[in-house]
Amino acid sequence: MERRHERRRRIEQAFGEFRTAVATSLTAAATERARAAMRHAREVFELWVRQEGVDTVRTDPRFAAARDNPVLAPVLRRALADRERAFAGWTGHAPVELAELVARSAPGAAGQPWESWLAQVGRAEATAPVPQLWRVGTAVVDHAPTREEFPLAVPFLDAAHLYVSTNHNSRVAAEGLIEGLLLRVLSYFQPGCVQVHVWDVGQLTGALPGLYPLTRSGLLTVHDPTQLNVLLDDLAEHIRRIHTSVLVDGHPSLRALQAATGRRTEPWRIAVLFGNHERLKDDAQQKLQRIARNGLDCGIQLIIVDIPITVNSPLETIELAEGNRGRSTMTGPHATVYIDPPAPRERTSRAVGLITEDAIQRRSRVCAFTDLLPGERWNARSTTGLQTPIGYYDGQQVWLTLGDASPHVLVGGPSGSGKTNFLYAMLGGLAARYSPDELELYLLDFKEGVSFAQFTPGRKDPSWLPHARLVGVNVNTDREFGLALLRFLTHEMRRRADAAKQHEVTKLEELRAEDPTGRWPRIVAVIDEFQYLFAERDGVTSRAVALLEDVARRGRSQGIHLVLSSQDVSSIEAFWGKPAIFEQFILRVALPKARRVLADNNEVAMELPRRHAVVNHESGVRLGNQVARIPDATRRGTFDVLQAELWRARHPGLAEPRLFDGSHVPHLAELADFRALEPGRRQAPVVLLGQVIDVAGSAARTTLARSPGRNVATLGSAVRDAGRVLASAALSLARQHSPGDALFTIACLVDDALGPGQRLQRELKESGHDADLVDLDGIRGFLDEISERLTARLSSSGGDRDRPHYLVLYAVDAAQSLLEKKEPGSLKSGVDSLRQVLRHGPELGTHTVGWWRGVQRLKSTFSLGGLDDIGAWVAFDVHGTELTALAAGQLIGWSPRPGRGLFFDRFAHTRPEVVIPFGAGNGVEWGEEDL
Amino acid sequence: MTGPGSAAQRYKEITGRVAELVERERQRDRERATELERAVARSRQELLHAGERERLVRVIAGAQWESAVAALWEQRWMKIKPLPRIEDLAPQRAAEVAALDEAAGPPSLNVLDRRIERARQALDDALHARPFLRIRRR
Repeated sequence: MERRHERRRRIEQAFGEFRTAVATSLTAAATERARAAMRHAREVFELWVRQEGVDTVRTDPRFAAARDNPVLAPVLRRALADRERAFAGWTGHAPVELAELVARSAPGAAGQPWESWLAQVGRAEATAPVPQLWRVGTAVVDHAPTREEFPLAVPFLDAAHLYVSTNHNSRVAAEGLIEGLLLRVLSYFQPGCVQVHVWDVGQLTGALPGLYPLTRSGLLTVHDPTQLNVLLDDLAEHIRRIHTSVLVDGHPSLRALQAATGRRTEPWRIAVLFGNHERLKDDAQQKLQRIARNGLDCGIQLIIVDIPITVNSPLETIELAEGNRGRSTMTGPHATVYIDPPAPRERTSRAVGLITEDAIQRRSRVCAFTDLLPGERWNARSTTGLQTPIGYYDGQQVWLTLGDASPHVLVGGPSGSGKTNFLYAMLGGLAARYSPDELELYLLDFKEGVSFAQFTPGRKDPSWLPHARLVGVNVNTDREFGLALLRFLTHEMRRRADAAKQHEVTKLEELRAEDPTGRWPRIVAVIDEFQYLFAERDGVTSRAVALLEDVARRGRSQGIHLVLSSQDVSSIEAFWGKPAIFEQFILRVALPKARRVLADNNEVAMELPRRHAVVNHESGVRLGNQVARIPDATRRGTFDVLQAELWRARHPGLAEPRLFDGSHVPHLAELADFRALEPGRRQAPVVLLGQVIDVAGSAARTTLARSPGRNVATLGSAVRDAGRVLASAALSLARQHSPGDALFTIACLVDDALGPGQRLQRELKESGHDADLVDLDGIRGFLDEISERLTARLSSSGGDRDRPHYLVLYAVDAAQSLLEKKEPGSLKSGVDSLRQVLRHGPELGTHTVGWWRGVQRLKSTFSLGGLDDIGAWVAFDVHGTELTALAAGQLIGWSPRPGRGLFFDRFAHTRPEVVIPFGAGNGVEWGEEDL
Repeated sequence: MTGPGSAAQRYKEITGRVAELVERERQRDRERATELERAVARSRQELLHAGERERLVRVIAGAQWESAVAALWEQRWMKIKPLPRIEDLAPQRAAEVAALDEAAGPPSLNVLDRRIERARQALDDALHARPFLRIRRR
């Protein structure tokens, strides 16, 4: 029995173990297979993940089942951990760095949220540091393990243009982006520092409507869709102007100029162009490209929306695909950008309103003369022309350009309208910008008054304008001076043309390039009240018109510019009769109430307020009108201060300007021609009879050669005029002889002449000369003696050359009746002696300088013929018709002019010329009695 | 300015790093994918083998079981506990499979095979009652 139990037990135990073994084996095999399946599944899944990208697998619904599978979860986790490791350098660091960078580089309105700056008017001046970045939104890296936002900012002012690409889903967001950026810029700087231009190919209104109130202050200009070329040309013109007159001395950009000088005088000009994904017309496209290329240096920024264009200068792009979401070149292809939502409409309106008001207030601030002056003096080159601002309008400077396109200026306005002030503003601006080597001024003021006297040294103010080479004041009766100036300009024009030809070029610009060491300044000749030049129908007018036409037409290429100003242009018949002249005056400036300066249908001058002017570079056509407020340039503390500054800065060797003052009596002793006289010259002695009315201020002279006819007569009733001529003749002769080498005899044949005669004698004696005085009692005897001596010399040959004997006769005709008496038993009368002296004296060195108190009285001396013994004469208060016989039969238009005489030298002149008799050197008149 | 040293350039330097990272990640993914393609092929083979082996084990185990059950047929007194179901033996649900990560590996199948054989032999021995004498060398 026991054995049976034992056996059963062993069987059961063995079976149990066997069962376990089988079960274990089956379990193990199944487990092996399960494990292999898991490994395989994981590897397949990981392959998907690596191929499709962990983000796709994470989000794509196709993989939803796989994602939920706990077998596969570790794979995903590991892939995500891998990515986290890969982005370890970025996560937590870079977004913070970017946020700090933007905070530093986009301070204030440039980068802060709108709550902190909107509706506050910008305070930064144009010279403040320009933000390097401007915030426009936020960005997120697409594949980053942690979603971290960082600010999106773009470089803008002075740095790069902006391109925005949109589709119909995102256009609205793009406008919000641009409006936001512009608000930042406009709120950062003071109003006026930034100007915005908007052009939309599709619509006149609608683009950026939130900014529209700015148009009122001129900070925003909306351009007609058809007028893109006008806008582009305008911008190109600004670039050109800035390059030629602001960026001189090698500064490549306004930013560099600001860094070097601390000044910025140009506003930023932002042009926003909305397109429709089509290219512009070829010429517009090219213009835009050129502006893009050159604009940044000149403060011109572009925001281009949907206009296909390649730009070879810094440009950042924002592409908006859907709403406010897109990509940008700042963040690259792996980041998505989100444009900031715009501020609420009410807040924006209020901000824009405040900016507009502030800008308007700023503009109506009266501008000052110093606002017209450049930061640095004498920095500009006049190679291609002259430019200066002359006033302000809407806070912007209004410029005046003298160059090829507008060589001459016509300024018109009734008296008191501010013409002088305008001229001062213009001259101040030019003189401050261009050095005396670049610009010369010739200034003539025909009316009474002393407008331009300021530019010459005076008693109270020794300074003078270094650019002024000639200043004429009180010229109203001396029209010859205007003529002289025109003649001078013509001569200078010819000189320059000859020099140009030698260098094988034609224009001043080219001459300056070929002859860089030569001095070829531009000349500006200002003639105020120029209508006086054409006041009479006479030879002066006709000659002046001819010269003016010549200079007007040909002066342009030789750098000679005319500025003619007048109260009333319409009164100038000769001027109007010559359209060729008028056409050259392309630049017109009209003061309030000026007539005929602008085109007939251009009435803007009638409504001009005081202190304003219209500058028109288009021959007066309305399109060219630019209104400007002219600052006060005449009161103390304005021009005078500038002149003193420039005077101190002048080259030490620079000569003073020649001043011609019509009311001034020239003094013989001051004249260079007089001072140049000295004894011992080989040529025949000259007499100086008065000052010629010319640019150089030279002396009227005639030569007393030893040949017939070399006597001088002065004709007139007043002792003063005659006395001046006689005295200056005698003194100039005295200067040409050593003491003792000449003899002077002075005859005073009227009482009035005694004083001047004695004075003359005294002066001659003081210089060491022999000078005798003869009166009415002795004249007869004297003349007889001289006459006999001359006769004796004539009839013998050989003998020494007599020393020169100069007869200075005051009021010869007063002795006529005395001389006419014949001595009993004598065939000759005193008059015969006189005639003998006049006829034969000169060839033997005896010359007569005499005063006759009328033409008829002169003729009485000569009775029949013999007038040719008077080779030269100066006539005062006689009439031209009387002088015909004395002037080789010419018709002479001459009437008495105070302080002026008519001089004719039959041996040298074709026509008589007007001269100004000399006064003495010490203030005492030669023709008046000593008191 | 957007030139060297400017804030804009610094900004782009930083954001440019993302491109590097993304590119490196992509590169790694590509390399890993290449590896995985080979690994997947291999593991597929292994899966097939594992399946084959399991089938073989089942066949042999089944045969051994059948013969054991037949040998015990005479022993009417014995209650024969059936084998557990396959579902109870092998991990089926994904969670169980995942738990295999942590589980220790089973002993090798060959060892288990021999154990079956030994156990079968022991059963035989027990049935034919020659316990003291039959010592088989293995």
